[in-house]
Amino acid sequence: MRAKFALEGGVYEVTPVRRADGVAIGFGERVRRASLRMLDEGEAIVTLDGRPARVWIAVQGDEVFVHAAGRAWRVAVVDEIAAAHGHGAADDTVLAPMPGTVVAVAAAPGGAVRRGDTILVIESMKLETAIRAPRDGIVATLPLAAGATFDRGAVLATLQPETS
Amino acid sequence: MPGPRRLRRVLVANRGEIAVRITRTLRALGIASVVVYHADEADGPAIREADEAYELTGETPVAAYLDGAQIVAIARRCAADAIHPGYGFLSENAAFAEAVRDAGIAFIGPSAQAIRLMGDKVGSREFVRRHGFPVAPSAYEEDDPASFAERAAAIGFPLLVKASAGGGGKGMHVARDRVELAERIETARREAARYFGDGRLYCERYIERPRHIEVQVIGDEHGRLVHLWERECSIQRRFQKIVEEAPAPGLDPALRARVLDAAVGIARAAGYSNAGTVEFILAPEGDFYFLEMNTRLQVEHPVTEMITGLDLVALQVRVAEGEPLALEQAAIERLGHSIECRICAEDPAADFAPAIGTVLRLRPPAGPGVRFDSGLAPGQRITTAYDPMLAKLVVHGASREAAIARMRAALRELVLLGVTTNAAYLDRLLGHAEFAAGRLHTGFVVEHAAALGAPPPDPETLELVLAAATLSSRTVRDLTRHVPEPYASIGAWRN
Amino acid sequence: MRRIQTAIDTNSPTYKRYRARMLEVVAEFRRRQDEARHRRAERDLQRLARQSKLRVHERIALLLDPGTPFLELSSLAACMAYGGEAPQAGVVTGIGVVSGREVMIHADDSSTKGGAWYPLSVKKIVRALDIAIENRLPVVHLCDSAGGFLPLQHDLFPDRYNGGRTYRNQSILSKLGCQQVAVVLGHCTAGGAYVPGLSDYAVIVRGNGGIFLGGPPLVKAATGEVVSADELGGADLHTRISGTADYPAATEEEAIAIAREIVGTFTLRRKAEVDWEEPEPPYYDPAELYGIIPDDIKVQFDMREVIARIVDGSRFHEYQPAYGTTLVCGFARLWGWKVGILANNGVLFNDSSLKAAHFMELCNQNRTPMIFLQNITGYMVGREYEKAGITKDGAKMIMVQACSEVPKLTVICNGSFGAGNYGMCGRAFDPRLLFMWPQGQISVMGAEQAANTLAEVKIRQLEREGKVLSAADIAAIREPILSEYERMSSAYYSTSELWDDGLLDPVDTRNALGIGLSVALNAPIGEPRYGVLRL
Repeated sequence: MRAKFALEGGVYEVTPVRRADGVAIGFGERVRRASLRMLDEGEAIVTLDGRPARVWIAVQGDEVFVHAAGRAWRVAVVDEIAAAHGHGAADDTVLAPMPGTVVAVAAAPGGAVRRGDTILVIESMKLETAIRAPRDGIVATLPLAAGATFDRGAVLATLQPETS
Repeated sequence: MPGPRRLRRVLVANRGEIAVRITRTLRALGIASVVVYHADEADGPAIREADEAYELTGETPVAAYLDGAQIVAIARRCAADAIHPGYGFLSENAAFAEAVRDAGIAFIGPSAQAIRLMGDKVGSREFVRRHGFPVAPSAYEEDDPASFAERAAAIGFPLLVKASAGGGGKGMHVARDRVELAERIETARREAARYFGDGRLYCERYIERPRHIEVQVIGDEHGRLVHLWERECSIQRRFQKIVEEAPAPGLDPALRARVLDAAVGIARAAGYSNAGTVEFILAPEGDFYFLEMNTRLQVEHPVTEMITGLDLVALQVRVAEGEPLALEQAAIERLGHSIECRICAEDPAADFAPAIGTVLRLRPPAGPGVRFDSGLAPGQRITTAYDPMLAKLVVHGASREAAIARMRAALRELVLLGVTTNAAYLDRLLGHAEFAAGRLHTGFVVEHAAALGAPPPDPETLELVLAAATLSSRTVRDLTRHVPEPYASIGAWRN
Repeated sequence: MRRIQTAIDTNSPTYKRYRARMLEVVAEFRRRQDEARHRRAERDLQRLARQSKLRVHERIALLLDPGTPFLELSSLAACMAYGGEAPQAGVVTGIGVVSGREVMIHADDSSTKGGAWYPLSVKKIVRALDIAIENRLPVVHLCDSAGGFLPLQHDLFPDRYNGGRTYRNQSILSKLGCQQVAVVLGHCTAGGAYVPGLSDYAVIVRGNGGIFLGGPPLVKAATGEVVSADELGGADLHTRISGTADYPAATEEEAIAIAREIVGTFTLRRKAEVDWEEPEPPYYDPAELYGIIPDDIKVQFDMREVIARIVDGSRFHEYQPAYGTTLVCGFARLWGWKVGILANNGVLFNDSSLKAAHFMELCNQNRTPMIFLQNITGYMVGREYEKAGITKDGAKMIMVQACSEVPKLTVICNGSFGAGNYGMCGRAFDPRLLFMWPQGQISVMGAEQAANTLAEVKIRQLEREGKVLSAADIAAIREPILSEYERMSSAYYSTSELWDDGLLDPVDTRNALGIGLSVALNAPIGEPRYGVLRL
């Protein structure tokens, strides 16, 4: 599989490959044998094609902090699927998951929303649900006002198409 | 005249690196140390260094350290005979100094009167000017609000419009002509009212490309007051110091003498005792003006200690004990050159936005001429609750070149992982030709911003870093582990 | 285990001649394979680009774990059919590693004729699923097909192993607990809709992906309803409302990344226990195989030399070396696994048939997978042999072979003629995989012999009608029969018709068999039991 890392404002793809004699890492066209030996206190020896280098490594969640060549580097693992999602035509329409009534409208056409922001609150079967923005974007339309009823699958909101 | 009174137990009303630093000197002097801490730093290094520790409570951590009454109460409870306020927090709070002394506890610092005098940024300038020391030409609104703009314009442009109640480099605006002046006054007044609760303004001449030179002074309660040479603090961003050094490079000896004399004169005129710093703005033409006096120990005091071999905190303690200063001005030598870099939790690539994280790995640089002052412990969480400064890296060298080289090596040797810091940025700054040439001014980092940006990583280093990340990231590593045999041995084969 | 001692002299003129010829054969094979895989009309490539579709081999590359092998099956399917209209039969199938799991991949190629399924396309897909069933492999379907090729519907719809068999196989796979992931990258129309419908997991790309039993033209014709492909069966309809698909994706890359993640959740299967040791490469250079295969199919060569260039360390423990010498058999290791090898050094006699049967019993008893290396013209004929029971002995060999419980793999290294094909585990006997070398031939009898026989019939008939034939007339009758025969017995014809699972460059045999063994061991090995042996 390909691993994508973000560091210093750039995204880099490497392809780690398991071979019988260890791990090889592909950097673009070049493939180099690689191994890691952890010592104490986060110190490690990373060997690339037989050349060892002394580094310090600390891992936290999906971030790896590396001290190498006299400075600290912050490397974040980029989620492949999330990264691929961002480049295509993503969710532009927000549909009602069930029939109900609009309780409150929390956004406005032309307004910017972040992924997860509440766009509307609906009520159905005595339960209130927040309808959230599926991605960062600009709200295009909000066809229903508070008090309006709708059926399952009705369009509750649309986002302006992403231009990439 | 009060006789010497030995201090047996001192309470350090501060946190982080300065609390650790002060406690170390107390221990060297054989004095018991007490430290106060907020719950979220309950396992900090200062608590381990000190002999006793007491918890401070407050709405926010900062509020806790600003609760003077609570601190005094704790001092009483543990029978401390003195309080050292460190820097920031209550160190320049005259009411606090008074309350401490009223409680029969020694305050390791100057008199409340001196604090009050120099704490008033407007009043202190007037005081200094009246005593014949150079002050940047200014106009104060409250003297006559109606003619304020006119009087300001009369000083000549460019002008700096400032809030009287402001400080710490906040609430200041530059005006280059009358039109801008009118606009800036409006803006500054609105901001001053909103941020400082006081809309009063003053204007002063704006010096372009100034150097920030400050002088460390220390006086005892017996009338002796000396300077411990000057420091250069021109490398700043948004009026926050980043790099300080002693002595100021390339300073004409005659000019130096005038600045040092002025500092001593100002401090003496104020009847100053204990440690303090007189700050000046030095114009490129060679004239200098009083900026302000800080009536406390400063963050960058170690560079003075490095070139003089003196322990400033020890001197402060002796002064507070009523001891006369055993220092002759003529005998205070300076040797070599010292530089300090402030290691801060910030991201230079994101316009120095504060960074948060956890100290996952810490390996301070060490060796001759290298000093690392920090309040950091492995596993410590770095949040925006406090100031972003994590540590001070201080070096000494026989010459400025040697000090710069030693500092760069130390910055590269420092391992601090888990939170983004400005260490690499500082390395690039110290490597800049203009810095090496000593052509410093307070606009240095802005002027050279482009050159100080991180260069693209060189391919070999990049591969090394990516390899380290690939081999340590659980997400990435686990997926390669599962390729079964014989597929792993066959490799990338196609039929 | 002792190493085979080679008798090959790489400096001999014969070796050099054979080698030069084989290099040409292999170069021709590579050329045809490359063309079938990659050469497409410019307008078809532009169409794909307009549709934001990736090429089928690009999709597979994204799906597979990098640095891992891909054993493509039947890459030259349909190479001699349909006038060359359907390269690779419009489908790519093969075995590879995805997120550390072995999977069977079935990927439609919409770069020609929209990926329509010809009769051989259906045969190829059904074969891939048969392999998955027999070897308990999960399957990843990369769906992008226009559906059945209507002009040939009679050959791909009604019969037992036609279109419906795909869906029957999918159901049986599911019943066996082999997961299937369908990645809908184009249309799944009519029967094709069942591919995601019968898969455990379905990912669908918004925009290009569509699943419907009837496409928009058919719906309009049937009920008059006018509806777009997306409204009828697009990603949002199926992932939010109908539940026919499970994961919407914005791009093909995202869809394939999701599929990889899904496969990563599959529990690793435990393989059948077979003796395994750390592998070692063959002692002799596999490239020497080129100089071992004669340039005339009638010329015999020693199969031990072939075995020596395929197995670990070239080590071979030969069974009954002095008996039945036209059949060579014994134990070896291939990519670490212990295997039983049966190979032909000539015609099968009574003793060689019995030896083979006995050896296969040993393999079944010892749970040793078997590898058949074919170069066989048949069983011996003649009165002496019939008297000795050659038919019986051949039957015993077939009975043991057919009833074997251990997995079998077959490589047709040269000739595969007549009943010898049966005894040596030809296609009808369910080897898990069957490969052929590109210079190989397969037919009921040799081309010369068959041409002579057929021509003889024709000549006799004409003579009875009173015609006198000259040598040229005879040649004119014989030549077309011969060339047609040769055409239909070539390795290319076999692979075009999917009589095999692909042609192999001889040096690739070791890896192909290694992967074959690996997947074969996913299915349990039963206790040996045979039918009645006519003793």
